[in-house]
Formats: sequence, C-alpha cells, structure tokens
Amino acid sequence: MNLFFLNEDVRIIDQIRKGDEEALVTLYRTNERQISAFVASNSGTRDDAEDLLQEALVILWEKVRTGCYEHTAKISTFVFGTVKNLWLRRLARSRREIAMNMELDPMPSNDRSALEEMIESEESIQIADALDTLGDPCRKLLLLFYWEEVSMDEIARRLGFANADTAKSKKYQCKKALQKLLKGLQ
Amino acid sequence: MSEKSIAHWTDDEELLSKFVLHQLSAAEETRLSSHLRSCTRCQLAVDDEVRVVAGVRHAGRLNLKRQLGSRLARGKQHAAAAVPRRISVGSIPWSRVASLAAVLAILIAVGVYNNWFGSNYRNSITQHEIVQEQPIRPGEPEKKQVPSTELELDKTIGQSNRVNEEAGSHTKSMVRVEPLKGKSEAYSPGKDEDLRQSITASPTQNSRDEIAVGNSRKSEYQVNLSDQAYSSAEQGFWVEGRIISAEGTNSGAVNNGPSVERQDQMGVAAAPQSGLKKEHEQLLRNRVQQTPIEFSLDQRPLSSLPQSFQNRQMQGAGTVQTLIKNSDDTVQLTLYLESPLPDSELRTADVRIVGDDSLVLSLPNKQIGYRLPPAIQNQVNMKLRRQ
Repeated sequence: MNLFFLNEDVRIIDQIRKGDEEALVTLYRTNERQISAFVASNSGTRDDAEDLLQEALVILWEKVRTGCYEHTAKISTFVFGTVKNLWLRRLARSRREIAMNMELDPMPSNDRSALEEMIESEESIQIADALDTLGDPCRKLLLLFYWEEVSMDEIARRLGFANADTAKSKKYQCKKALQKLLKGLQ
Repeated sequence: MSEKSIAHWTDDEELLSKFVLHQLSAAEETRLSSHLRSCTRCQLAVDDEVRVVAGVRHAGRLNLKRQLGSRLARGKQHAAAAVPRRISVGSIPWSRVASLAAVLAILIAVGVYNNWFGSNYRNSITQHEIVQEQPIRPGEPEKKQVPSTELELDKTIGQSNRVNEEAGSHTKSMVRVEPLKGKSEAYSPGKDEDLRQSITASPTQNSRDEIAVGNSRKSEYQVNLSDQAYSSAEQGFWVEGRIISAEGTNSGAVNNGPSVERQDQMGVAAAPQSGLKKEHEQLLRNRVQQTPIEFSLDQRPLSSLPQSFQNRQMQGAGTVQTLIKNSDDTVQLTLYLESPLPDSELRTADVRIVGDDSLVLSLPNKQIGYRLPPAIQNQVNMKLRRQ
C-alpha cells in the first residue's frame, strides 16, 4: 500500500471528523478527473459527474462523522465505488421511470423497491423543505442530532443551551413542530 | 427490562431516537424490535421517527452539497483571479468570431462588386493605347500633330490622367481604331459585311480637301477638339459629340454603291440643310470605298457620368458625351444620354469616318459628329493602311 496516500487519507479523515469541509474540497479536486471520465464513458454528462462526486463525498462525510466509515481502502477507491453505485442506481431508476411512464396500465412488475424509493425520496424532500421552513435553531439542532449524530452535550455547547437536558427538551419541541409541518403539507 | 417498562417504549423520546439511530446494543435492539411486532402504536412511532431521520439526513446532505459547491466555486474564482488567464481554444467565442468574419466578408464582397461594377464601363487601356496631348483651338489651323507610330504610342501608356488645360482642350487617351465598320451590337453578320464594304478607304489629303465645309460649318461635322474632347479619369477617350441633325435620316439618297444604298435603308441621317446635305453626300461618296472598321454602340444614362461631365453636357446643348474605347476587335462608342434610345435605333445606326479626323454616327433621328483626337486618327490611318 502506498504509504503516502495512506497518510494523506488519514489526514483527510481526521479533517472530516473535525468537521472541516475543506477536506471535501481537496477530495473533490483529487478525484474529479477520474469520476468525470467514468461518468462520461457511461452516458453521463459533466453535470452528472459533478453531482455524483459531491454526493459521494457527502456520503463519505456522513459515514466518517457517524463513525460508520471503515478505512480499509484508499478514500479514492471508496469515492469511485460510491459514485459507480449511485450512477448505476440512477440509470436503473431512469430506465424504470421511462418504462413506467410508457405503461398505460399500472406497472406490470412487482418491483416495489423503485416505487418505495420514489415515495421515500418524496417524503425526504418534504421533510427537508419543512426543515428549512422551521429555520434555526431547530434546523441546526435536528441536523446535528439526526444527521451528524452529535451528543446532546455537544449540541448544548454549540447552540448555547444551558445543558444537555435543555437541548433534549428543545429537540423534542423541534421534532414535534416538524411533524406538525409535515402533517400540514400532507 | 420489565414488561411494563418495555410497553410503549417509544414514549421515551431518547430511547426511540437511539433505537432508530442504531445507537443501542444488538441485544437491546432485538428486544425492542420484538415489541414492535405486537404493538402498532410503537411501530407507528418508530416509522415516524425513521421518516424524520431520513428527511433530516437528506436535508443535511443537501446542505453540505450546497456548501461544497459554493466552496468549489469560490476556489475556482480565486484560482482564475490569481493565474493570468490563458486564452484557450475553448474560451474563444467562436460564434462571435464567425459573425464578425461573415460581416467582414460581406463588406469586402460589396466593395469588390462596386469597384468592379463601377468600373465595368471602362475599358482597360491596353498596351497599345496611348495618350496624346494636342490642344486644338477652335478656328485655328490644325496643329501639326506629333507623329505617332505605334511604338511611340505604346510609350505613353499609363499617362491617361494627364490633362492639357489649354483652351479647354483635353485629350486623354487614344483609342485604337480597328477596321471601320458601322455596327451596333444587334447587327447581324450579313449586314455588317455590307456596311463594311460601304465605308470608304483611308483619308487622304485630297479627301480632306474634298470635304468642302467651311470653318463655320466644320463643327457640324467635326468635333472641335479644343471644346469637346477632354480628359477624364476613366480609361478610354471622352469625346463630346455634336448633334448634326435631329431630322430623320431616311431622306438622303447617296447613290454610291450598295453599301451607301444600304446606309439609306438603315437611315443615314440627312444633312440638316440642303447645302450640308450635299456636303454630306460628298463625304459619303468619298468614303464609300474605305475599308470598314468595327464599331460597336452602347448607351448609358447621363446620370452615370461623373458630375463634371454631366455639367458639360447640360451646358452644351446639342452635345452628347461619348466614351470611345478601343478593344482588340472593335471600337466601342458609349453614348451618355439623358433619355435612352430604342434598341432599334442603335441597331440601325451607322458609324463612319469622315476625312481622317472625324467620325459621324448616324442614327435614325439624328447624326452625331465627333472630332477624333489625333491619336485616334493616326491609328485609323495605320489600320486602314494595313487593310
């Protein structure tokens, strides 16, 4: 294994753990060319490549931040593999969507995963919009808690709450408000 | 954990979150999951929590992607500002370049077209065309012209813009006169031949003498060079023709051979008065044996003349600005007229040399006389001698 790259990867992962988004910028520039070539050779555009790379880096960020990332290979390998899966899933989804749109009858297959994906995706978009509507500090709090899985003590510290219990209470209130918003949208 | 504590465990917000976020031990998760199989209320609570988590994570990813995109964009801007911009092929606005090139091509094409078309009526002066500058004043004896051999004439190529201002007399360029032949462009070969045979031989001193016109009438047949021939920037030779007669030309009958008869048929202009008519007839008789020289007629609107020329024509009533040009085969007369002549008149027109220095253009309704510049005269003589 290339020690230089290993050391570099370790440094980057460390940066991610600390919440330094510049690590993502570095990873983006490092992997941009390879990803662009892959996507272009698989019916994709430059915009697709950019979007997929950013998504892959976000997934990496999420995994590292939540402690789910296992550094068993080079980060570039992880990124490439993630992009590949995302792109293939997107292609498959678009083919299924095309097939569904062309069908006059309800989709003949019992492929519910694509439908479920679409529904879940729709819900996620709604929740994301509702979250934006909530605004700060609920938005930040819920993101820290559910996405970054930061501890309540840390959340209290970051957002200026008195203590963890206050943060918990606030989190409960924000969640209820979010659910109320979602019910209103439905 | 007791049954009571496990019942509706989803009421514990913190436990619910940890369960959904997989922050519990495997054993704990298994235990709580088993409850869900039998508790709809808890199952629904878990489902809600899962949706919230999914939505918030989705929002978090979007937010991070947005921030990453902004950072990358800022980085590109900084990089672009820091490094001198290199012009690459891709950065050149080729569509704009193509548009400019198209506009430039159109302008050049218009300029070339105008330049070509604008000078279309000019004949290029061939290497055998020369410039003679011999002012001739009206009423004065004709000056002895500088003898001009063809070689000498050739030496003065390119001097066509010199102007001799003496007494308003200007000669510019000389036209090589091919074998005389009165013809217009619409003439048929047969008629041309007849006309050719009708034109008399080269002028001689005797012939000149036989042109019994007094000085007072000389201008009616001959173009006074001092008044009428003048320079122009155009290539060719500008001569001002005098309208000899505005009457019909069918009345005269010159019985000097078939060509002359033919001239009558074609409408040779009659002399405006009886005395002139006789003199004209005499001229025709004198010329009937001459070898014909090819002529061609053309007409252009007066408005196409340079302004100074137009002014001259306006000033001199009864004059016709004419460009005489020489080509290999013909001598072309281009008349600049206020109103165009019908093609039939041009077709039936007749051109002949009178004496050795004059030319008469006979149209159905008028005759126009030209005094040929000396250079043309000499060319005519030489040409005729060759015949």
